[in-house]
Amino acid sequence: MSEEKVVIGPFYPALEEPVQFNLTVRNGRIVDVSFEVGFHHRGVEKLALRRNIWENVLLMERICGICSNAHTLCYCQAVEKALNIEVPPKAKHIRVIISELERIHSHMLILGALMHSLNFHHLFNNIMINREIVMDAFELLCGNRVHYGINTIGGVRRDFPEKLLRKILENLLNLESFIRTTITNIENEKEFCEKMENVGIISKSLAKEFDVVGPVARASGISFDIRKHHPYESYADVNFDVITRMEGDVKARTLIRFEEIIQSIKIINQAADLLLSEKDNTLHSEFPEISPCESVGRVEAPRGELFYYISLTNIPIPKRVKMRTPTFANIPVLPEILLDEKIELALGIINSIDPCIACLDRSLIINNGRKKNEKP
Amino acid sequence: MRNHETEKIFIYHILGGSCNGCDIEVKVLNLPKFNMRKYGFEFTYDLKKADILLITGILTQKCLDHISDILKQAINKRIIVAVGDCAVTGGIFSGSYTMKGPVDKVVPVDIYISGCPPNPRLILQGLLKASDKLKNVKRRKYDDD
Repeated sequence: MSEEKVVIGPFYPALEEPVQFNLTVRNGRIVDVSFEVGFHHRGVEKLALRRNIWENVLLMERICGICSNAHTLCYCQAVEKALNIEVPPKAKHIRVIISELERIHSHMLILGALMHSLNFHHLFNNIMINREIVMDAFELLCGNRVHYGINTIGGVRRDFPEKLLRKILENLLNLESFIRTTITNIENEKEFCEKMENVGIISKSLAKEFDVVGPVARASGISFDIRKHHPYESYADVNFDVITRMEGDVKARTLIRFEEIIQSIKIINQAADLLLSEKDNTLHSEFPEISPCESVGRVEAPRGELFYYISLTNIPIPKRVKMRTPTFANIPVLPEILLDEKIELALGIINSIDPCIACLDRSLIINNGRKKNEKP
Repeated sequence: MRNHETEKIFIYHILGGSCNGCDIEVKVLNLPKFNMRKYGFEFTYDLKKADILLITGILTQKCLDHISDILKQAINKRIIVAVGDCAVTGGIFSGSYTMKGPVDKVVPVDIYISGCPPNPRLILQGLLKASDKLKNVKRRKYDDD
Protein backbone atom coordinates (compact mmCIF):
# COMPACT_ATOMS: atom_id res chain seq x y z
CA MET A 1 0.00 0.00 0.00
CA SER A 2 1.39 3.37 -0.96
CA GLU A 3 1.56 6.26 1.43
CA GLU A 4 1.34 9.86 0.34
CA LYS A 5 2.39 12.97 2.21
CA VAL A 6 0.06 15.94 1.87
CA VAL A 7 1.19 19.32 3.15
CA ILE A 8 -1.49 21.96 3.64
CA GLY A 9 -0.10 25.42 4.19
CA PRO A 10 1.51 27.48 5.55
CA PHE A 11 0.20 29.90 2.92
CA TYR A 12 -2.88 28.22 1.50
CA PRO A 13 -5.98 29.93 0.08
CA ALA A 14 -8.60 27.92 1.97
CA LEU A 15 -6.87 28.46 5.31
CA GLU A 16 -7.51 31.94 6.59
CA GLU A 17 -4.16 32.18 8.31
CA PRO A 18 -0.67 30.73 8.00
CA VAL A 19 -0.49 27.32 9.66
CA GLN A 20 1.00 24.13 8.31
CA PHE A 21 -0.64 20.69 8.44
CA ASN A 22 1.41 17.65 7.46
CA LEU A 23 -0.92 14.76 6.66
CA THR A 24 0.03 11.21 5.71
CA VAL A 25 -2.57 9.57 3.48
CA ARG A 26 -3.14 5.89 2.73
CA ASN A 27 -5.92 4.87 0.29
CA GLY A 28 -7.49 8.31 0.53
CA ARG A 29 -7.70 8.16 4.34
CA ILE A 30 -5.60 10.15 6.77
CA VAL A 31 -3.32 7.99 8.92
CA ASP A 32 -0.96 10.51 10.51
CA VAL A 33 -1.26 14.18 11.39
CA SER A 34 1.16 16.80 12.64
CA PHE A 35 0.97 20.55 12.49
CA GLU A 36 3.24 23.53 12.82
CA VAL A 37 2.22 26.90 14.25
CA GLY A 38 4.06 30.07 15.18
CA PHE A 39 3.88 32.06 11.94
CA HIS A 40 1.87 34.76 13.69
CA HIS A 41 3.93 34.91 16.88
CA ARG A 42 4.47 38.60 17.66
CA GLY A 43 5.66 38.50 21.27
CA VAL A 44 2.63 40.25 22.77
CA GLU A 45 3.24 39.13 26.37
CA LYS A 46 6.75 40.63 26.26
CA LEU A 47 5.56 43.85 24.60
CA ALA A 48 2.90 44.26 27.30
CA LEU A 49 5.60 44.64 29.96
CA ARG A 50 6.99 47.75 28.23
CA ARG A 51 3.78 49.78 28.18
CA ASN A 52 1.48 51.08 30.88
CA ILE A 53 -1.88 49.47 31.58
CA TRP A 54 -3.88 51.95 29.45
CA GLU A 55 -1.63 51.55 26.41
CA ASN A 56 -1.92 47.80 26.81
CA VAL A 57 -5.67 48.00 26.06
CA LEU A 58 -4.72 49.00 22.50
CA LEU A 59 -2.12 46.26 22.29
CA MET A 60 -4.50 43.51 23.49
CA GLU A 61 -7.07 44.66 20.95
CA ARG A 62 -4.59 43.91 18.19
CA ILE A 63 -3.87 40.32 19.24
CA CYS A 64 -6.71 39.18 17.02
CA GLY A 65 -8.70 41.00 14.37
CA ILE A 66 -11.74 38.74 14.76
CA CYS A 67 -12.33 38.66 18.53
CA SER A 68 -10.62 41.96 19.39
CA ASN A 69 -13.36 43.08 21.79
CA ALA A 70 -13.17 39.86 23.82
CA HIS A 71 -9.45 40.43 24.43
CA THR A 72 -9.84 44.02 25.65
CA LEU A 73 -12.90 43.13 27.72
CA CYS A 74 -11.06 40.29 29.45
CA TYR A 75 -7.97 42.43 30.04
CA CYS A 76 -10.03 45.32 31.43
CA GLN A 77 -11.94 42.89 33.67
CA ALA A 78 -8.68 41.55 35.09
CA VAL A 79 -7.38 45.07 35.87
CA GLU A 80 -10.75 46.17 37.27
CA LYS A 81 -10.92 43.17 39.60
CA ALA A 82 -7.31 43.72 40.72
CA LEU A 83 -7.86 47.39 41.59
CA ASN A 84 -11.51 47.01 42.78
CA ILE A 85 -12.99 49.33 40.16
CA GLU A 86 -16.79 49.32 39.85
CA VAL A 87 -18.07 49.56 36.25
CA PRO A 88 -21.16 51.80 35.77
CA PRO A 89 -24.33 49.98 34.58
CA LYS A 90 -24.54 51.81 31.26
CA ALA A 91 -21.00 50.67 30.36
CA LYS A 92 -21.96 47.10 31.22
CA HIS A 93 -24.85 47.11 28.75
CA ILE A 94 -22.69 48.65 26.01
CA ARG A 95 -20.05 45.97 26.57
CA VAL A 96 -22.68 43.24 26.21
CA ILE A 97 -24.02 44.72 22.96
CA ILE A 98 -20.55 44.92 21.38
CA SER A 99 -19.58 41.43 22.62
CA GLU A 100 -22.65 39.88 21.03
CA LEU A 101 -22.29 41.78 17.75
CA GLU A 102 -18.73 40.49 17.67
CA ARG A 103 -19.89 36.92 18.28
CA ILE A 104 -22.27 37.19 15.30
CA HIS A 105 -19.59 38.47 12.93
CA SER A 106 -17.01 35.95 14.12
CA HIS A 107 -19.39 33.00 13.78
CA MET A 108 -20.49 34.14 10.33
CA LEU A 109 -16.89 34.48 9.19
CA ILE A 110 -15.95 30.95 10.22
CA LEU A 111 -19.19 29.52 8.81
CA GLY A 112 -18.33 31.23 5.53
CA ALA A 113 -14.82 29.77 5.60
CA LEU A 114 -16.25 26.34 6.42
CA MET A 115 -18.69 26.47 3.49
CA HIS A 116 -15.86 27.66 1.24
CA SER A 117 -13.65 24.73 2.23
CA LEU A 118 -16.51 22.25 1.64
CA ASN A 119 -17.14 23.79 -1.83
CA PHE A 120 -20.52 25.40 -1.08
CA HIS A 121 -19.56 28.67 -2.75
CA HIS A 122 -23.08 30.01 -3.11
CA LEU A 123 -23.75 29.78 0.62
CA PHE A 124 -20.30 31.22 1.36
CA ASN A 125 -21.18 34.32 -0.68
CA ASN A 126 -24.57 34.68 0.98
CA ILE A 127 -23.09 34.42 4.47
CA MET A 128 -20.38 36.97 3.73
CA ILE A 129 -22.90 39.40 2.19
CA ASN A 130 -25.14 39.14 5.27
CA ARG A 131 -22.12 39.54 7.55
CA GLU A 132 -21.79 43.09 6.22
CA ILE A 133 -24.96 43.98 8.18
CA VAL A 134 -22.96 43.52 11.39
CA MET A 135 -19.85 45.21 10.01
CA ASP A 136 -21.99 48.23 9.10
CA ALA A 137 -23.36 48.24 12.65
CA PHE A 138 -19.79 48.40 14.00
CA GLU A 139 -18.92 51.21 11.61
CA LEU A 140 -21.97 53.18 12.75
CA LEU A 141 -21.53 52.55 16.48
CA CYS A 142 -17.75 52.62 16.90
CA GLY A 143 -16.40 54.30 13.76
CA ASN A 144 -14.23 51.36 12.74
CA ARG A 145 -14.99 48.01 11.22
CA VAL A 146 -12.47 45.80 13.00
CA HIS A 147 -10.83 47.30 16.07
CA TYR A 148 -13.66 49.02 17.89
CA GLY A 149 -11.74 50.84 20.62
CA ILE A 150 -14.79 50.79 22.90
CA ASN A 151 -13.42 49.31 26.15
CA THR A 152 -11.28 51.17 28.62
CA ILE A 153 -10.28 50.37 32.18
CA GLY A 154 -13.31 51.16 34.34
CA GLY A 155 -15.92 51.45 31.61
CA VAL A 156 -16.41 52.31 27.95
CA ARG A 157 -15.34 55.23 25.79
CA ARG A 158 -18.56 56.27 24.06
CA ASP A 159 -22.32 56.14 24.28
CA PHE A 160 -24.66 54.82 21.58
CA PRO A 161 -27.34 57.19 20.27
CA GLU A 162 -30.89 55.81 20.37
CA LYS A 163 -31.64 56.46 16.68
CA LEU A 164 -28.64 54.42 15.49
CA LEU A 165 -29.38 51.60 17.89
CA ARG A 166 -32.98 51.31 16.64
CA LYS A 167 -31.76 51.21 13.04
CA ILE A 168 -29.29 48.43 13.82
CA LEU A 169 -31.92 46.37 15.65
CA GLU A 170 -34.11 46.64 12.54
CA ASN A 171 -31.28 45.39 10.30
CA LEU A 172 -30.62 42.48 12.66
CA LEU A 173 -34.19 41.26 12.05
CA ASN A 174 -33.29 40.69 8.37
CA LEU A 175 -30.19 38.81 9.47
CA GLU A 176 -32.24 36.60 11.77
CA SER A 177 -34.60 35.54 8.98
CA PHE A 178 -31.60 34.68 6.77
CA ILE A 179 -30.07 32.56 9.54
CA ARG A 180 -33.35 30.70 10.15
CA THR A 181 -33.71 29.78 6.46
CA THR A 182 -30.09 28.63 6.30
CA ILE A 183 -30.55 26.37 9.34
CA THR A 184 -33.54 24.61 7.68
CA ASN A 185 -31.57 24.28 4.43
CA ILE A 186 -28.59 22.67 6.12
CA GLU A 187 -30.72 20.34 8.24
CA ASN A 188 -32.73 19.01 5.31
CA GLU A 189 -30.64 19.11 2.15
CA LYS A 190 -28.80 15.98 1.18
CA GLU A 191 -25.57 17.51 -0.11
CA PHE A 192 -24.85 19.16 3.23
CA CYS A 193 -25.56 15.97 5.17
CA GLU A 194 -23.19 13.91 2.99
CA LYS A 195 -20.21 16.11 3.73
CA MET A 196 -20.99 16.99 7.35
CA GLU A 197 -22.78 14.16 9.09
CA ASN A 198 -20.67 11.69 11.12
CA VAL A 199 -17.47 13.48 10.09
CA GLY A 200 -14.80 14.50 12.58
CA ILE A 201 -16.70 13.29 15.64
CA ILE A 202 -15.64 14.56 19.07
CA SER A 203 -17.40 12.33 21.58
CA LYS A 204 -18.30 13.64 25.03
CA SER A 205 -15.50 11.64 26.68
CA LEU A 206 -12.93 12.88 24.13
CA ALA A 207 -14.11 16.45 24.68
CA LYS A 208 -13.66 16.03 28.44
CA GLU A 209 -10.25 14.40 28.00
CA PHE A 210 -8.91 17.21 25.79
CA ASP A 211 -10.75 19.91 27.73
CA VAL A 212 -12.16 21.64 24.65
CA VAL A 213 -14.06 24.90 25.15
CA GLY A 214 -16.74 27.02 23.57
CA PRO A 215 -19.02 25.91 20.71
CA VAL A 216 -16.83 22.84 20.10
CA ALA A 217 -17.55 21.57 23.64
CA ARG A 218 -21.24 22.53 23.46
CA ALA A 219 -21.59 20.58 20.18
CA SER A 220 -20.33 17.49 22.06
CA GLY A 221 -22.92 17.70 24.83
CA ILE A 222 -21.00 19.71 27.44
CA SER A 223 -23.32 22.48 28.52
CA PHE A 224 -20.91 25.12 29.71
CA ASP A 225 -21.01 28.82 28.97
CA ILE A 226 -19.31 31.45 31.11
CA ARG A 227 -22.03 33.96 30.22
CA LYS A 228 -24.55 31.70 31.96
CA HIS A 229 -22.61 29.92 34.68
CA HIS A 230 -20.29 32.73 35.83
CA PRO A 231 -22.10 35.86 34.54
CA TYR A 232 -20.07 38.99 33.99
CA GLU A 233 -21.14 42.52 32.97
CA SER A 234 -24.95 42.51 32.60
CA TYR A 235 -25.35 38.95 31.34
CA ALA A 236 -27.15 38.09 34.58
CA ASP A 237 -29.99 40.48 33.63
CA VAL A 238 -30.65 39.06 30.16
CA ASN A 239 -32.45 35.91 29.21
CA PHE A 240 -30.92 33.42 26.77
CA ASP A 241 -30.40 29.68 26.25
CA VAL A 242 -27.16 27.73 26.18
CA ILE A 243 -27.43 25.67 22.99
CA THR A 244 -26.14 22.11 23.25
CA ARG A 245 -26.03 19.27 20.78
CA MET A 246 -25.07 15.68 21.35
CA GLU A 247 -23.68 14.52 17.97
CA GLY A 248 -20.25 16.22 18.08
CA ASP A 249 -19.72 16.08 14.32
CA VAL A 250 -19.04 18.86 11.80
CA LYS A 251 -22.77 19.37 11.22
CA ALA A 252 -23.43 19.87 14.94
CA ARG A 253 -20.58 22.36 15.20
CA THR A 254 -21.95 24.23 12.18
CA LEU A 255 -25.56 24.34 13.36
CA ILE A 256 -24.63 25.31 16.90
CA ARG A 257 -22.93 28.45 15.59
CA PHE A 258 -25.99 29.38 13.53
CA GLU A 259 -28.23 28.89 16.57
CA GLU A 260 -25.91 30.95 18.78
CA ILE A 261 -26.28 33.83 16.33
CA ILE A 262 -30.05 33.81 16.96
CA GLN A 263 -29.43 33.80 20.73
CA SER A 264 -26.98 36.70 20.31
CA ILE A 265 -29.60 38.76 18.48
CA LYS A 266 -31.98 38.00 21.36
CA ILE A 267 -29.40 39.25 23.89
CA ILE A 268 -28.70 42.42 21.86
CA ASN A 269 -32.40 43.29 21.83
CA GLN A 270 -32.66 42.92 25.62
CA ALA A 271 -29.41 44.76 26.30
CA ALA A 272 -30.49 47.63 24.03
CA ASP A 273 -33.71 47.96 26.05
CA LEU A 274 -31.70 48.00 29.28
CA LEU A 275 -29.33 50.60 27.83
CA LEU A 276 -32.11 52.91 26.64
CA SER A 277 -33.96 52.75 29.97
CA GLU A 278 -30.81 53.43 32.03
CA LYS A 279 -30.95 56.77 33.89
CA ASP A 280 -27.34 56.92 35.09
CA ASN A 281 -25.24 58.51 32.33
CA THR A 282 -21.71 57.84 33.62
CA LEU A 283 -19.64 55.82 31.18
CA HIS A 284 -16.55 55.10 33.24
CA SER A 285 -15.52 55.32 36.87
CA GLU A 286 -12.50 57.07 38.35
CA PHE A 287 -9.17 55.37 38.56
CA PRO A 288 -7.86 54.57 42.07
CA GLU A 289 -4.29 54.55 43.28
CA ILE A 290 -2.26 51.55 42.21
CA SER A 291 -1.05 49.09 44.81
CA PRO A 292 0.60 45.67 44.37
CA CYS A 293 -2.15 43.23 43.36
CA GLU A 294 -3.03 40.45 40.96
CA SER A 295 -6.20 39.12 39.41
CA VAL A 296 -7.74 37.17 36.55
CA GLY A 297 -10.43 37.85 33.96
CA ARG A 298 -12.65 35.30 32.26
CA VAL A 299 -14.78 35.97 29.22
CA GLU A 300 -16.77 33.80 26.82
CA ALA A 301 -15.10 34.82 23.55
CA PRO A 302 -16.72 33.69 20.26
CA ARG A 303 -14.48 30.62 20.26
CA GLY A 304 -14.75 29.73 23.95
CA GLU A 305 -13.26 30.64 27.27
CA LEU A 306 -10.67 33.41 27.23
CA PHE A 307 -8.54 33.84 30.34
CA TYR A 308 -6.24 36.69 31.39
CA TYR A 309 -3.94 36.94 34.39
CA ILE A 310 -2.40 40.26 35.39
CA SER A 311 -0.05 41.16 38.19
CA LEU A 312 0.76 44.77 39.16
CA THR A 313 3.31 46.46 41.40
CA ASN A 314 3.31 50.09 42.61
CA ILE A 315 3.81 51.46 39.08
CA PRO A 316 1.21 51.35 36.30
CA ILE A 317 3.37 49.02 34.18
CA PRO A 318 2.33 45.37 34.64
CA LYS A 319 4.73 42.85 36.11
CA ARG A 320 3.20 39.97 34.16
CA VAL A 321 0.33 39.56 31.71
CA LYS A 322 -0.65 36.03 30.74
CA MET A 323 -3.42 34.97 28.40
CA ARG A 324 -4.95 31.61 27.53
CA THR A 325 -6.88 31.76 24.30
CA PRO A 326 -9.71 29.36 23.29
CA THR A 327 -7.89 28.02 20.21
CA PHE A 328 -4.99 27.06 22.46
CA ALA A 329 -7.39 24.70 24.25
CA ASN A 330 -9.14 23.46 21.11
CA ILE A 331 -6.34 22.74 18.65
CA PRO A 332 -4.80 19.64 20.39
CA VAL A 333 -7.97 17.68 19.56
CA LEU A 334 -7.43 18.09 15.79
CA PRO A 335 -4.96 15.21 15.24
CA GLU A 336 -7.41 12.87 17.03
CA ILE A 337 -10.45 13.72 14.91
CA LEU A 338 -8.61 13.94 11.57
CA LEU A 339 -7.44 10.31 11.82
CA ASP A 340 -9.24 7.89 9.52
CA GLU A 341 -11.17 10.61 7.70
CA LYS A 342 -11.24 11.21 3.95
CA ILE A 343 -8.55 13.63 2.76
CA GLU A 344 -11.04 15.81 0.84
CA LEU A 345 -12.92 16.55 4.08
CA ALA A 346 -9.76 17.49 6.01
CA LEU A 347 -10.11 21.24 5.44
CA GLY A 348 -13.74 21.16 6.54
CA ILE A 349 -12.82 19.41 9.79
CA ILE A 350 -9.94 21.83 10.44
CA ASN A 351 -12.20 24.84 9.90
CA SER A 352 -15.04 23.33 11.96
CA ILE A 353 -13.16 23.83 15.24
CA ASP A 354 -12.64 27.47 14.23
CA PRO A 355 -8.87 27.80 14.65
CA CYS A 356 -7.70 31.39 15.15
CA ILE A 357 -3.96 31.26 14.64
CA ALA A 358 -3.36 34.90 15.55
CA CYS A 359 -4.86 34.18 18.99
CA LEU A 360 -3.07 30.86 19.31
CA ASP A 361 0.52 31.86 18.70
CA ARG A 362 1.78 32.38 22.24
CA SER A 363 5.15 31.08 23.29
CA LEU A 364 5.11 28.22 25.77
CA ILE A 365 7.93 26.73 27.78
CA ILE A 366 7.36 23.15 28.83
CA ASN A 367 9.42 22.33 31.86
CA ASN A 368 9.41 18.61 32.53
CA GLY A 369 11.63 18.78 35.58
CA ARG A 370 14.60 17.04 33.96
CA LYS A 371 18.09 18.44 33.94
CA LYS A 372 19.62 19.58 30.67
CA ASN A 373 21.60 16.50 29.63
CA GLU A 374 19.48 13.91 31.39
CA LYS A 375 17.95 11.23 29.16
CA PRO A 376 14.16 10.91 29.13
CA MET B 1 -7.42 54.84 -19.68
CA ARG B 2 -7.44 51.17 -18.87
CA ASN B 3 -10.31 49.03 -20.07
CA HIS B 4 -11.56 47.47 -16.84
CA GLU B 5 -13.37 44.64 -18.53
CA THR B 6 -10.71 43.26 -20.78
CA GLU B 7 -7.50 44.09 -18.92
CA LYS B 8 -7.50 42.09 -15.70
CA ILE B 9 -5.11 42.89 -12.88
CA PHE B 10 -4.21 39.94 -10.70
CA ILE B 11 -3.45 40.36 -7.01
CA TYR B 12 -1.44 37.93 -4.92
CA HIS B 13 -2.02 38.31 -1.18
CA ILE B 14 0.85 37.51 1.20
CA LEU B 15 0.11 37.09 4.92
CA GLY B 16 3.10 38.21 6.93
CA GLY B 17 1.94 37.79 10.51
CA SER B 18 -0.87 40.24 11.13
CA CYS B 19 -3.86 40.14 13.46
CA ASN B 20 -6.30 38.96 10.69
CA GLY B 21 -7.93 42.38 10.64
CA CYS B 22 -6.28 43.53 7.41
CA ASP B 23 -6.50 40.06 5.85
CA ILE B 24 -10.27 39.92 6.19
CA GLU B 25 -10.69 43.50 5.01
CA VAL B 26 -8.73 42.53 1.89
CA LYS B 27 -10.81 39.39 1.37
CA VAL B 28 -14.15 41.24 1.56
CA LEU B 29 -13.19 43.32 -1.49
CA ASN B 30 -14.65 40.44 -3.50
CA LEU B 31 -18.17 41.14 -2.17
CA PRO B 32 -20.73 43.00 -4.30
CA LYS B 33 -20.68 45.83 -1.75
CA PHE B 34 -17.11 46.80 -2.65
CA ASN B 35 -17.01 45.09 -6.06
CA MET B 36 -13.35 45.15 -6.96
CA ARG B 37 -14.12 43.18 -10.12
CA LYS B 38 -15.73 46.30 -11.56
CA TYR B 39 -12.23 47.73 -11.78
CA GLY B 40 -10.76 44.55 -13.22
CA PHE B 41 -9.05 43.33 -10.04
CA GLU B 42 -8.98 39.65 -9.25
CA PHE B 43 -7.24 37.52 -6.64
CA THR B 44 -4.91 34.84 -7.85
CA TYR B 45 -3.11 32.01 -6.09
CA ASP B 46 -0.57 31.72 -8.90
CA LEU B 47 2.46 33.88 -8.30
CA LYS B 48 3.54 33.84 -11.94
CA LYS B 49 0.24 35.37 -13.00
CA ALA B 50 0.29 38.14 -10.39
CA ASP B 51 0.69 41.83 -11.20
CA ILE B 52 0.38 43.20 -7.68
CA LEU B 53 1.80 41.72 -4.47
CA LEU B 54 -0.29 42.78 -1.49
CA ILE B 55 1.46 42.36 1.85
CA THR B 56 -0.13 42.57 5.32
CA GLY B 57 1.46 42.09 8.72
CA ILE B 58 4.73 42.81 10.49
CA LEU B 59 6.71 40.06 8.68
CA THR B 60 7.61 37.76 11.53
CA GLN B 61 10.85 35.79 11.31
CA LYS B 62 9.06 32.52 10.59
CA CYS B 63 6.92 34.01 7.82
CA LEU B 64 9.92 35.73 6.25
CA ASP B 65 11.78 32.41 6.04
CA HIS B 66 9.02 31.19 3.74
CA ILE B 67 8.41 34.28 1.63
CA SER B 68 11.78 36.08 1.39
CA ASP B 69 12.57 34.41 -1.95
CA ILE B 70 9.24 35.49 -3.41
CA LEU B 71 9.77 39.04 -2.21
CA LYS B 72 13.35 39.40 -3.45
CA GLN B 73 12.42 38.15 -6.90
CA ALA B 74 9.52 40.58 -7.10
CA ILE B 75 11.69 43.73 -6.94
CA ASN B 76 11.12 45.81 -10.11
CA LYS B 77 8.91 43.12 -11.58
CA ARG B 78 5.72 43.46 -9.58
CA ILE B 79 3.99 46.37 -7.86
CA ILE B 80 4.34 45.90 -4.10
CA VAL B 81 1.54 47.24 -1.90
CA ALA B 82 1.86 47.34 1.90
CA VAL B 83 -1.54 47.24 3.62
CA GLY B 84 -2.12 48.22 7.24
CA ASP B 85 -0.08 50.03 9.85
CA CYS B 86 1.87 46.85 10.68
CA ALA B 87 3.17 46.51 7.15
CA VAL B 88 3.77 50.25 6.72
CA THR B 89 5.53 51.14 9.97
CA GLY B 90 5.33 48.17 12.33
CA GLY B 91 2.50 49.86 14.15
CA ILE B 92 1.81 48.77 17.70
CA PHE B 93 4.17 45.81 17.44
CA SER B 94 7.33 47.86 16.72
CA GLY B 95 10.13 46.63 18.90
CA SER B 96 8.89 43.06 19.06
CA TYR B 97 11.61 40.42 19.03
CA THR B 98 10.05 38.47 16.16
CA MET B 99 9.51 41.46 13.90
CA LYS B 100 11.67 41.63 10.76
CA GLY B 101 9.56 44.27 9.03
CA PRO B 102 8.21 46.77 8.20
CA VAL B 103 7.98 45.68 4.57
CA ASP B 104 10.17 48.44 3.15
CA LYS B 105 13.07 47.18 5.25
CA VAL B 106 13.00 44.00 3.16
CA VAL B 107 11.80 45.14 -0.27
CA PRO B 108 11.06 48.59 -1.77
CA VAL B 109 7.33 49.37 -1.53
CA ASP B 110 5.37 51.19 -4.25
CA ILE B 111 2.10 51.97 -2.49
CA TYR B 112 1.51 52.38 1.25
CA ILE B 113 -2.04 52.00 2.60
CA SER B 114 -2.10 52.82 6.30
CA GLY B 115 -4.89 52.40 8.81
CA CYS B 116 -5.49 49.85 11.54
CA PRO B 117 -7.02 48.21 9.58
CA PRO B 118 -7.69 50.38 6.51
CA ASN B 119 -11.29 50.51 5.32
CA PRO B 120 -11.90 48.29 2.26
CA ARG B 121 -12.77 51.39 0.25
CA LEU B 122 -9.36 52.82 1.13
CA ILE B 123 -7.65 49.61 0.06
CA LEU B 124 -9.53 49.78 -3.24
CA GLN B 125 -8.37 53.36 -3.74
CA GLY B 126 -4.78 52.28 -3.13
CA LEU B 127 -5.12 49.41 -5.58
CA LEU B 128 -6.40 51.81 -8.24
CA LYS B 129 -3.31 53.96 -7.69
CA ALA B 130 -1.19 50.83 -7.98
CA SER B 131 -2.88 49.99 -11.28
CA ASP B 132 -1.89 53.42 -12.62
CA LYS B 133 1.70 52.69 -11.69
CA LEU B 134 1.51 49.38 -13.48
CA LYS B 135 1.80 51.18 -16.82
CA ASN B 136 5.25 52.43 -15.91
CA VAL B 137 6.52 49.04 -14.77
CA LYS B 138 7.46 46.72 -17.57
CA ARG B 139 6.20 43.42 -16.27
CA ARG B 140 9.05 40.98 -16.47
CA LYS B 141 8.95 37.29 -15.86
CA TYR B 142 10.39 35.55 -12.85
CA ASP B 143 13.79 33.90 -13.17
CA ASP B 144 12.35 30.40 -13.18
CA ASP B 145 9.63 31.08 -15.78
